Amino acid sequence: MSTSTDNNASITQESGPSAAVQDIQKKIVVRTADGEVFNLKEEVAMEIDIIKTFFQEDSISYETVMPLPNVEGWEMVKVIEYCTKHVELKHKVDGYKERKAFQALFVQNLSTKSLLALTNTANYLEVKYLLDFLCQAVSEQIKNKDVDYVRELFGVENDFNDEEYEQVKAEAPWAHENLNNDLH
Amino acid sequence: MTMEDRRVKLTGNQNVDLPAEIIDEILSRLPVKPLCRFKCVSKSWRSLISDPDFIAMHSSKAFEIKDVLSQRLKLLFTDRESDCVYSLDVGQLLNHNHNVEVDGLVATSAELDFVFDNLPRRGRYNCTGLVHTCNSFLFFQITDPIETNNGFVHNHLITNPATRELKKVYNIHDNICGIVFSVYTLETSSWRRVEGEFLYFPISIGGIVLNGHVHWLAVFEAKQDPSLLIISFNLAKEEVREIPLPPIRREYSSRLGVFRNWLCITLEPGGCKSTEFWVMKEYGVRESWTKMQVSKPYQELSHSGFWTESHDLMVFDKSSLVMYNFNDGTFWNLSIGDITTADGYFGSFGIYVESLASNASLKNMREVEKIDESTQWHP
Repeated sequence: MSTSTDNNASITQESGPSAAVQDIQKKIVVRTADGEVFNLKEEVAMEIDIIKTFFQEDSISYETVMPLPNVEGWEMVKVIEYCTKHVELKHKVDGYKERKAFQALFVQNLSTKSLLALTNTANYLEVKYLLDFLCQAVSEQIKNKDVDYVRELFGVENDFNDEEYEQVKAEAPWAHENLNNDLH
Repeated sequence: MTMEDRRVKLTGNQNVDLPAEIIDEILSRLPVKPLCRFKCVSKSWRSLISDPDFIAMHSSKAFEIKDVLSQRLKLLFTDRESDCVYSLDVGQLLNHNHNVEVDGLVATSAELDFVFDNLPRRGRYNCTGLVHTCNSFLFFQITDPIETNNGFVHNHLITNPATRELKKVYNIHDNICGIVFSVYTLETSSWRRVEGEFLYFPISIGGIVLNGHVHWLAVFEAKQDPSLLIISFNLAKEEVREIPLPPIRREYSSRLGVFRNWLCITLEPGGCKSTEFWVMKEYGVRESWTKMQVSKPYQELSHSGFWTESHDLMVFDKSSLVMYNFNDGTFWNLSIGDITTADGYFGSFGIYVESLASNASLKNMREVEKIDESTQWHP
């Protein structure tokens, strides 16, 4: 049913076997906001609910390139990386340690801002387990940060005047102390 | 406040609208301390974090996600001098692979100074046995060290240790005979006596709460040869019922407690150590009393309220914390760094889960106290 689209794609992002073997497996093609095109293995693509719905609901041919105008290329790379690992670990009995190690590496080079953007994307693409993981990862990164950091990160304006701020702060002054000493 | 009000624009390279549900998801996974801090971020964040629906979502995350639970699960205990309350992070035990290096996992603890900061400092207070944890609240009694004309003053307090909210429960003084059950309503800060005559003589001090009932060991006064039983006070219906004990020898004194979700009787065979105890696997069913064995003999044994798939955190002889595996009888000891207890003994303890819940939300929770002035009990 689907033909190989390796010829057309200027950039293919895949982890996996050689080109010859790739021809045999079904592929789904998406295009991100910046024009990058990705070939996904069918089983990985089906982890992404928005893609799954697009192709299955109206029985759209896999030859169609699905546009993802809200997703950046780098985000797609990360999503594919996570979903591929998830599929791989599905068949393993005790993948706990491996999953934990993978998750630690996954977030290692991402700034918190990038993590937030990726969280938004995971929500848009409808990959629940990735969304859960990313929300947890963001909360881990911000839990010891101060108020200014959080405002900057989320782009929130301070609408307290000085007096109001001091008042709110005074309700729980201990919460603003010892930010570096938190063990948990 | 509409959804649009709480959308957030990410600045920088990307201008993305972060939906409010995503912010909720992220914030609800945070521990209590940063959430209290982030109330200062903006007015809308403050009202979000104080919103009862958000607080409920935040609480339920602990029971949906293991990593969140392990952050928020604490063991509270007092030392033997009972003038300090400590908090211990037991959540790390959830993920700990015990077989390898450990026979002595070190965990630090933190004093809950704020509890005493709210009372006038008059030397050392005595935080006595009634440390009782219930969900995310701590209920305990602090005795003023200075004796007044009325005897020692007992302060009863309910606190959420995570948010440091503290509320005083006012005492009643009433001279009556036998047992009186009184129910305290937080909303009106008042006691109400439960109607009825309860001809029981209580043996144990401090009720054991399980399944919405409070339990004490007692004897039934009116009987000729009074035997020991458990009385159970149903908080919702305000009724009392009897629960029979397991078949234990009379000469052993027994102590009532809770083991996981079961009533538990531990034995104190006068001076000797015991290696058995009983649990009531089906509530109220006499035949379901089951004998359990421990490979480590005890004089006093309690369940901390914390357990994993394989281990239960037990307190032996009020001095050691032990992760005990009841499947194979193996165990390992926990040591706690930084505790300045003179002789290593605990006072009382309990497990609780940190949450944002405030005393205001407690108005539907009732606390029952048994008044026992039975210096004059009628046989």
